[in-house]
Order: sequence, then structure tokens, then C-alpha cells
Amino acid sequence: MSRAATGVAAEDTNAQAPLTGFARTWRAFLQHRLAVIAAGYLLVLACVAIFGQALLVHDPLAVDLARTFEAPSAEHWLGTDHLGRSTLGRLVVATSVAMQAACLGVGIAIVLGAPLGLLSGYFGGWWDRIGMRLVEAIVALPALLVPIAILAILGPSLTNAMIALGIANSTAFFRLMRGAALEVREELYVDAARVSGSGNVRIVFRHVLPNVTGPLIVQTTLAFSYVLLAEAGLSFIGLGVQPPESSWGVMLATAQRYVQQQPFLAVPPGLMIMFTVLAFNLLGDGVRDALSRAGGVVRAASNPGRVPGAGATRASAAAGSVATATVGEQPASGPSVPQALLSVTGLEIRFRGARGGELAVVSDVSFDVPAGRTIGLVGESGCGKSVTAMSILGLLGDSGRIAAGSIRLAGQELVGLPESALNGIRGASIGMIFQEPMTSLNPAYTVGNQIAEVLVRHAGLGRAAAAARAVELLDHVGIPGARQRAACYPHEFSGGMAQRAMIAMAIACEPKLLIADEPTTALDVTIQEQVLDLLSGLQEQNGMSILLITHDLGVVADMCDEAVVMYAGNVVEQGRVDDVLLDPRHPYTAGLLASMPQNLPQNRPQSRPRHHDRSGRLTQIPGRVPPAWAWPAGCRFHPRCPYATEVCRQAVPQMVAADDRRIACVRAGEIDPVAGWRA
Amino acid sequence: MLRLIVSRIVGLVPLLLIVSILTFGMLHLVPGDVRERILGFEATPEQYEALGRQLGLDQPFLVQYGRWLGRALQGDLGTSYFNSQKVTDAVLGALPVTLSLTFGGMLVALAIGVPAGVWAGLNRGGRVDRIAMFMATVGQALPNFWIAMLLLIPFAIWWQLVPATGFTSPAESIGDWLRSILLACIALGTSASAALARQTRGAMIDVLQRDFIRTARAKGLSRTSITYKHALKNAAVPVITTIGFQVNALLSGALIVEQVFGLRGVGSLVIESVRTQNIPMVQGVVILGTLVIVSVNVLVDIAYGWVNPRVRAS
Ligand code: SF4
Repeated sequence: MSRAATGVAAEDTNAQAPLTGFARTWRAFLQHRLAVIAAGYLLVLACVAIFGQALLVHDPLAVDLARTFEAPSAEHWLGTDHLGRSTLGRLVVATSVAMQAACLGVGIAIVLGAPLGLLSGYFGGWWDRIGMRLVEAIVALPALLVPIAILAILGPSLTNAMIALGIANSTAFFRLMRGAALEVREELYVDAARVSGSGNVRIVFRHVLPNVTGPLIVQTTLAFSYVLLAEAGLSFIGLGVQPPESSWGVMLATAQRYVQQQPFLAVPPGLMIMFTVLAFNLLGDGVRDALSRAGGVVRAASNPGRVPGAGATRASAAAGSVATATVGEQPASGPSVPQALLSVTGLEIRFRGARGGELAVVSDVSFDVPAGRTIGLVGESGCGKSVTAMSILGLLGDSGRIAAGSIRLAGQELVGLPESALNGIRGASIGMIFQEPMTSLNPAYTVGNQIAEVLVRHAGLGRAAAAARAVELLDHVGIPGARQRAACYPHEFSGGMAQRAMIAMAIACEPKLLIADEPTTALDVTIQEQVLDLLSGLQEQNGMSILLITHDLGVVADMCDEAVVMYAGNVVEQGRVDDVLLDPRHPYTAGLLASMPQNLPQNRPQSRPRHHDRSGRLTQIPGRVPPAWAWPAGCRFHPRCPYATEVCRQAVPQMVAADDRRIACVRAGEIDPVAGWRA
Repeated sequence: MLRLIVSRIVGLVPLLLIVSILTFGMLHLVPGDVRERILGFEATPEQYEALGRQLGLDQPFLVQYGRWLGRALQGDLGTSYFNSQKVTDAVLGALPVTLSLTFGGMLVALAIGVPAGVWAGLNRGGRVDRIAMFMATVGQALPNFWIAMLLLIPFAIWWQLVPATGFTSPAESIGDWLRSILLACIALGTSASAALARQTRGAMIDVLQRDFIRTARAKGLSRTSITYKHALKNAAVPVITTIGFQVNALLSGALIVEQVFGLRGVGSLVIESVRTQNIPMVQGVVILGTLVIVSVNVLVDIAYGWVNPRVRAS
């Protein structure tokens, strides 16, 4: 589930009264139309199996040799077989046999597998090891040979076939229960229960069984499918139900023998098997889905607070068209301002919610990145800075789009460019590096291959030349033994080395702009500094601009010329870095600064104080950025702002420019934004 | 890589030992006296005794098992109860039919299931996805021998495009061999492709959400390159692990589907042997069938190492 969807799910739970786990699951299940239909069908089938024979007009065993191989007619709705028996009648009998047989087989599987698995998992030790080995051995055998071998011992008959299938299928229940018991055994509360003198039986009933009920139901439906199919198969080859008794498999065997005379005989029993197995499968899917959704809601509810968009950009990757942007609303910006390499104006980004409707996760964001400079986009996670960065590359995914505004790179409008044109810019004029270098590299290809790929794509190099250049690049970003390392896979790299490789990939085509999204957050403290030094060094050499996205004001102080502070999808303050950090005018900026250890704004943050909270959550501003659907009216910061008044709850702060600074706070000027955080 | 293969094969030894004990134990679980079944009721006590000695029934279980295992390791899985046919010869003679169906079915399953799954995964939630997943859901509910019958009726009986019964060895004629197994392979393959398509789709959707796909897109790679280079190889990792299960299911399916087309393979052999409780023959089928599955699993592991460099290294 994408985070966008969990966000909406969380909203739901807030809205409704808490339900018990069962009621919630039940409701989720009822929404599953196919599963409900399947359950209805199975109920009808059970009735047919129990009462059907009483309603039959024709005795299913009555032989009428004058009327063999009849096609369906008004009298015999499904025709007759080689002995002139009514196919419909035989089908009803067969249904009854199949249902009884399936119940027997599944019952044996559960009775045999579940308790043994439970004991094995709960008590562990030697018995567990022997049990697991046996199960592994049975699973390694060709699936049908297990019941066949058991039938060889017991002799072919329906009951024996069901015993055989039950034994063969018990391994699934064994594994399921063993897993559940093992899990519960590890839990502390069971230890507590044991210490407090609860007996083992009590523990099992109180703690293990409730956890495993859901998966057990799902496994049971699967077992029904399996047993039904296998029973049909065994009866078809003559090892299950023995004629003249009827079963779907036996009827298919008859059909097979007389396929020349009356091919229609094959149709009814086959359809019955198909519908019944389908119904059990759909029922199982429905239950599984209901359980996971009911569980998912609980989890989502306890973890709110992410801008849906931030996850969605990562989640959806299939197509990345920047959907039709309405450029009309943008503030008039003259033809390309020469000194700004990248110019973002009035940017608004919207994401589709899981149930339709759109949500603006970023609105009215404007900033410039001058050539050769570094601009920091700052804020807590969930404030929209990563989405803004992704939108520059047109990588918002399927559910996001740029709804308004303009993004110009060296005068060229990027909003609304076709995918092919954007592909010529991505990786060529704009390089990008990400927070998690390890997962950002493809584990299936060598690092050298992945760097060379960009060069082949954009620089028109041949494979050999690209590979050679990849080695040079790795060397250039300070990876020792670059030639050997190029042939290594990402998992053989450390985090810091992987980020260096990512940088090599991003700068391979000498981009004019490098977007670095939290480039050091996931790295070890000692490595962070080296990576930042590398970035500054590269910038000095090739004069590229850097858009640095970070929550770390220390990094901003160290790297950036300008800072753009974002909160809840808006820019709240922007200006030259020294000004913003030494003299914050917006309470949010001041709050961020205050939450850095020993760095109140009187003394400018020392070069790289590396004590920040690596999770990206700052500790001293109470609360966290709410998710986009929960943004309050008025100033979005007001629930967390120590200066908030009634005005802030109503008036939306407008961006006000004053001596190279831009601040969006209705009380700007009348408050000292720093003092409030000292209290 | 070589180390990986060797360690996998060595790791199989305990598993195969357990299977062999279980299989050998079958003989002793059969109710009643085996000798009665072989000799009939009219035999003299002397004949009984002689047969008992011949079968080693007078020895303790472990000695019997040891002898049996020793012979099995040399390729001798015993003799049929009812004629002097060697079990190994009988099973190996029947195996080509069954293996043709199993692997032919696997090819069909891959040819249908993988593209369908990739396509559905790329168009998640779209029309293609919904149609493909609907068909997969229905496909998983179809007994493969029923599909076989439904294919047999038009293609072999009405239009007689392929023979309705009988197996031609590939040594005789490749074309006739293909014609003799074609429908069976399609029946087995379509049935197995349903599960394969679902797995491939799931793997594809999962991979497309990973960070490295975002990187590939930020690099400006074409959609083709992202799908077929970056996504597919990673999506193959979970799919390959399930191929072992698939071959297992296909082998089981082949035993039944053989019957539809009158192909005398392992299925016919084992069915006949179960009916007559010809235990050595059933044991032979179980042992050789397990060997087939286990070898496939080793091959799968090798393929897994190929797509997943992490495994290869360790
Ligand atoms: S507008 Fe009000 S609530 Fe918002 S930052 Fe300014 S003082 Fe705080």
C-alpha cells in the first residue's frame, strides 16, 4: 500500500468509532463483493450436497440402456451417460461426495498438522527439529506422489484417498501453527504469563490461537481448493472414489472413456470443479484481504504524519508524465533571468488521493538557484521539500502532477515538456543523488555498469569508452582501486562509498545542476563530512549549481549560499544563509535553530555540529508536520507555534519581502521569533 | 559459484536420507503379509519361507534398509513383485514421457505467465491488469486434466490435427514427438501459467517501487531500459524461487494428464502399481521423482545466483 493510501486510511479511523478487530475485519470482508458471492455459492452448494438428492426426479443410479449418451433435453437437463443415467442426478450425488470428502480431507489435515505444529513450535527442541525435517522431506517430494504412496499402502478408496490427502496437506498447517507458536513464544508477555503461573494450555488458548485464527481460515480455504482438485485428479485416475459411486473425478473419467460418443459429458463435472475451487480461492483472497486491511488500518492509525506525496513519488514509478500544467496562473516572470540557472515560480503540486480528489501538497513555492551556487531547501520531513525536488525532474509518478507554476532551467520551461524531452535532461543537465545510496543502486548490476549506462545514454559513448570513463569517475570521487570497484556490485560497497558512486553517476555528464536529496542523512557521522567536502570540491571544479535538500541546519550553514525554509508545503522564510541562520524572522526557522544543540541564533551554527537527530525529527518543536489532508486553516504552523494568536488561525500569511528576505508570518515584525523558543 | 553448487548438493544428503527412510518404510506399513500378495494363497510354507529370505524379510529393519540403500545407490531399486522387471528400468523407461510433459509444460507456462505478469504489473490497476488477473484467478481453479480434455475434443477428435493417443520418442521423429505431447504441454502449461503470472506481476509491482528504479528514471533512461534492464532482472529473483514449486506441480499434473492422452509414462506405471500394491515399483517412482525435483531445485538455485549477485558471492 502506498503511503498516500495509508494516509487516507488513517483519516478513516479518526472519523469512526473504534471497532473491534473482528467487526473491522467483517466489514472489510463485506466490501469484497466477489468473496461474498463466493461464500453464497458455497452455502448453496452445501445445501445441494445435503438436501439435493431428495429433490431429484431421476434416480441417479437407475440404468436405462435405451437412452445412453443423450444430449441435454427437457427431461434430462444435462443429458445421460453411457448407462443412460441422468448426468444431473449423478452430479448432485457427486457434489455431496466431493463436499464430504473435502471436509474429511481438510479435517484430517488440520487435526494432524495444527496441534503437532503448535507443540513443535511452542516447545522447540529435538521434536521440533525432527518435525521440521520430516515436513521438509515431504515438501521435497513431487506433490501428488505423497498421497499416491500412501494409497499404495492403504489401497485405493475414497476414504483412504482423503486420509492420504489429509496427511499430505497437513504440512501446511504444521508450518503455519509452528510459525505462530514460535512467534508468540518469543514475545515477552508470554514469559510474563508463564512467570505468573499460567499453564501452557492457558497460554496457548489465550495468546497463540487468537493470533493465528485469520491465517488459519485462509489456509483452510486453500486446503479445500487443494483437496477438491486432488480428489478429482485421484478419482480421475482411478485411485479415489471407485465406480459405481459418483464423484466429479469419476464422472470426468467416464467422460474421458466415452469422449468419442458424447463429448458433452466432460462439461458439467469440470465446470462444477472450476466454480467450487474458484469460490474457495476467492473466499480465501477476500478473508486475507480483509484481515490485512483491518490490520493495516490499525497500523496506519498509529503512524500518521507524512505528506502523502512524499511517499507517492517513491511509490509510483510506472510512468512519469508531468500532467498538463496550467501555466496561466503563474505570476508574470519575464523571459529568462540570466543569472538564475534554475528558476521555480509559483509551483503547486497536487496528488490524487486514494479515493479520488486531489490534494495540494506543495503550493506557491518560488526560488532561484543561481549558477554555481548552492541553495538549501530546509524543513522537517513531510514539509514538501523532496516532492519539490522530484517535480523539477518531472518525477512525480502517476498520482502527482504540477498543477501550476513554472520551472525553468537556463531559460527552458520544464513544466509540460514531453517525457522524451525530460529524459534528455534527466541525468544530463540535471543530476540527482538520494538519501539511501544503498537502495538507490540496482543490486543486480555492477556499479561500473550503472555509471557507464548514463554515459551511453547521454554522452553518446560506446560501451568500452563508457566503462573506461566510469572508472575515471569513480577515481575522481575518491574511490580507491576504482578499476576493481567498478566491477563490484552495490552490496559490496559501504554506505559512504555507495554515495560516492551515486555522485559519480550524477556528475558523469557534467550537469549544470545537481539535486542532492538528504545526501548525508543515512550515512555515518564521520562519512557525512567527507561526502559534503566531495560535493563542495566538485562544485569548485566544474561550477555546477547544487540544490541541497536537508533537514540539517548544520549542513545548510556549511554548504549553502541561500536557504529556503519550507513548512507544510509552503515556503515560510528565505534569504541568504547568514541572514536566515543568524537572524531568523520566522518562528519556524527559529524553532529549527533552537532544536540544534548549543546553537541558539546568537552565535551562528558552528561549522558542522554533527549532533543532530538522524531520524530527521527535531526534538524541541512540539509535535510534527501533519499530513497534507490535516493541514489547518490560517497559518499552517499555528498549532505548533508559541506565538500563535486568533489572527494566525484565520489569516493565511502572505510572503513579504524585506531587505533580501522573504517571510510568511502574519506577526512578522511584531514578535521576537527567537525568544519564544527559549521558554 | 562452484562452492554454492557443491554446498547445495551436500546439503541435500540428509533430506534424501529421510526420503529414503520414509520410502523404504512404506514396505513395512502395508497391512498383511507381502508374500501372500506375491505368491497367492495356494503357495506352500516352503515357498513362503524361501521368498521371505529372498526379500530379506528375516533380517532386522535396519539391516534390510542398509541393504536396500546400498543397492539403490548403485542404481538398483529392486524388482517388480509380479514379473522379473527391474524397477529402475521400468521407471527410467517411463520417465521420458513424463519429463517431456513436465518441461514442455514449464516452457508453455513461462511463455504465457511471465509476459502476462510483466504486462499486468506495468499496467497495475489498468484494463490489461484486470483481465490478466481475472484469467489467472479462473486458471488456478481449472483442473489441468480437464483443460486437457477440452483441448483433446476439438483438436484431436474433431479436427484430428494431432494424435489423440500415444507417445512418439524424440529419437524417432522430433516432429511427431512434438505433436504427441503438444496438447498435454499446453494443458499443463496454461494451468501453471496462472500462478506464474500472479507471482511475476507481484514481483514486478514490488520492484517498480524500489529506490533504484527512481534512480534509473532520474538518469533519464528510456522506459524500455528501466523495464527490461533494471526492473525485470530484479523481478526475476522471487519468480525464480517459485519455479521449483512449479516444476513439482507440473510433474504431479503430468502423471494425470498422461492418462487423457493415453501416454504411457510414469503416471500409468504408478497407477498400475498402486492398484496391485506393487510396492517396489511405487518406491522407485517416489525415489526417482524426488531426484528429479531435487535436481531441478539445484538448477533453480544456480539460476538464482545468476540474477542475485549477493548469493553468488557468499
Ligand atoms: S503566522 Fe502566527 S502561527 Fe504562523 S508562524 Fe507567524 S506567529 Fe506563528
